[in-house]
Amino acid sequence: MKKIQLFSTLAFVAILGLSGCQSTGHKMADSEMSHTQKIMVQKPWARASAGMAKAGAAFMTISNHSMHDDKLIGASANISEHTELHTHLMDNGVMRMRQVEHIDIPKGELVALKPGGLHIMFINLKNSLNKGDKFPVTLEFQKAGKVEIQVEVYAAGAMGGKHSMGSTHKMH
Amino acid sequence: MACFTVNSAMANAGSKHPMPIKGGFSLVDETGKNVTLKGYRGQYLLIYFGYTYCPDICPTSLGIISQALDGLTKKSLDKLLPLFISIDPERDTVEYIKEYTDMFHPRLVGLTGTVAQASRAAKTFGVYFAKAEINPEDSTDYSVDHSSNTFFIDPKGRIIEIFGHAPQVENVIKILEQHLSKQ
Repeated sequence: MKKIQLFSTLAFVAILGLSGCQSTGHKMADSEMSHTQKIMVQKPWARASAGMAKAGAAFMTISNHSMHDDKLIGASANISEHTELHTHLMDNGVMRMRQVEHIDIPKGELVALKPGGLHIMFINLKNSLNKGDKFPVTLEFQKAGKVEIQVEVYAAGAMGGKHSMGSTHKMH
Repeated sequence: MACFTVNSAMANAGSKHPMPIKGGFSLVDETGKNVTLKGYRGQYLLIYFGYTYCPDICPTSLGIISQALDGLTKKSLDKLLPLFISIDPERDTVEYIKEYTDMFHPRLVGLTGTVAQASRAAKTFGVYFAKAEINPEDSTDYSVDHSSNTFFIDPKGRIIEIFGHAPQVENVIKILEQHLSKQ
């Protein structure tokens, strides 16, 4: 119990630091805390797509604060026909994008889905992704279950990391 | 499809001496004009091979290139022509490649052509590419495995630097300026 309390305090401080919004910091932190006991998803973002582009990718960091190893086993979104977990393999300078069955999220660790590596891949986008848009994605974890996140669309050439934290919500 | 690989020593480069380019290319630029590598002689080029369907690797590289271009002095930027060459010309039309490159930087010019023309361009630079299926239900749905190197060419048409995937922006700016700021 003490451990959980300690984490909550740390998470609270971290959220305050990341939110960059002092006046509502308290409120945000309170609502976040109730959802962050097990899996916490931060800064989910995607790149803007060109008009005809049919593929998109989303990135985020996922931290596992539970006492058990977990796995991200799937993702779904209604912005595309298919939503898959992907990674990139670099082989002698050649980048190969491949689907993965799951992404390990070990207990106590933070896993980064970032450009050039692991990502959520949207295949056959129904509409283009425009900078500033937000869209929901449901992540499915083996143990933590479904977590809905709001993904924010950044510029086409964005590398992430410059914007404030995205919201997380644990579904029931 | 022929396969060409860039050896990693070359890819990580920092090559001290300009490397002559064997071969060339003949492609169509984003305005529909026929262009050749030889026709670009007399100016510095920064060339990246990719495809517009590319969800991550190309935007990462083009994002870095754009940031590097923005970091150059105006005088240096005026001497440099950044090119994006499609290795997926079946899907990358002239109109589409223009729209795509404009999203990253106004100076970036997209080139496409026939499959044979794109293959020759890739071969000239030792760029490997091969289709990889991502949707078994739809044969027009594929990604393309490809080398993610960026080539810096001098006005004499020689390679003076090869940047590997996702280089540091500051380092790219430094190397570009070393050459572009020369009188």
